[in-house]
Amino acid sequence: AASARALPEDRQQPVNLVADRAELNQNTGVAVYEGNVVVTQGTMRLTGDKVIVYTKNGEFERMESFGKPTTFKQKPAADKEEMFGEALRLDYSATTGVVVATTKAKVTQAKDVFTGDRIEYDVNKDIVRAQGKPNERVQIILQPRPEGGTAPAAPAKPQAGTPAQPKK
Amino acid sequence: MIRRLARVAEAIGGGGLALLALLLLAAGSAWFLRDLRHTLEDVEPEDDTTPTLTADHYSGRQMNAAGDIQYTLTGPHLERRPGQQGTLIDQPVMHTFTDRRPEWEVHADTGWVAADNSVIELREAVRAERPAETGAMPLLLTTRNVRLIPERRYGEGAEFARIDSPGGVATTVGFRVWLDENRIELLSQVRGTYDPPKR
Repeated sequence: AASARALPEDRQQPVNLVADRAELNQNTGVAVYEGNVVVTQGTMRLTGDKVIVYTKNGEFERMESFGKPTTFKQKPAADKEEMFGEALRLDYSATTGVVVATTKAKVTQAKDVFTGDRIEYDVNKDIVRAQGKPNERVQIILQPRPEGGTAPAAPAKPQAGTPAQPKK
Repeated sequence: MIRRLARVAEAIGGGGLALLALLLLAAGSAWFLRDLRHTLEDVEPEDDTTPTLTADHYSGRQMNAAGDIQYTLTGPHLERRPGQQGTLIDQPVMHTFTDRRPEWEVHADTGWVAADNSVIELREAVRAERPAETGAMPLLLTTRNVRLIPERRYGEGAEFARIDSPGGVATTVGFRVWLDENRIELLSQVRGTYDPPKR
């Protein structure tokens, strides 16, 4: 089978969308897709109930996805495990390659799980930044690496909010 | 009725009987013929489709209330039918205008314009293009059977449609478009492709 395209090429791929219905507004460059929405770009695959696509001069710039949950998956690199994300809202920027999951956010890579109110995943650097709320800490479950296994996305330094602490 | 006829026959004698029979026959035939003609006339089609106006290589223009040109309609042949039957057009080419500037160029295999110009139907293959020169984002819509309401600058179609724009392609089954708002609703089975941002 064709090997999964490594991530850097992903963002050079066309973005394909499937939905039940849509409304395109040329004046604002905003297109709203609704009903079983599936967006793919290379190895990236996003699903949602409603996806708003922002274009500039007809070019795909960014999108917001809403669902219960809206889901996201992507292969950061050919030798890395696929990364899965879900939340009530996902923001994906085609220009920066950063995915932001907000509200009931959860990111999984291999067996490692990050949950929190807001999780940012930098697809280029394969870095996860998780942020909690005062009464809702970020939860990180890191599984032990088998000998010689590839390391998952490294958690970034904890944000100014509640520090990211491994689950006891 | 028969006894009365018998008394009349007696009064005028045998020869009269034959005459009476003839009279009866004539009266019956007249009734029969009148009834036949009436039936035939019913068959005569009420809705005559003989064109009241035909034009070859015509060009028409529709102005709006403010006196500005709304659209032009040209084609090799048109026929206006009597009454409310409207006008049938071969290979219509329509140009819409916004603030007197040309915007959309629309081609169709055939067309029909309502008698009061309130509705235009573009039938079979339809191709609507907004070229880049209009200053707006160029678009090309290809589909079949489109219904336009010029007054509201609104159009709709129920069949497969493809929309090509510089940034990508969208396809749908069924659409509605509001020209003044530059807005289009794709009604079902929507597929879209966007080109990635250029580095």
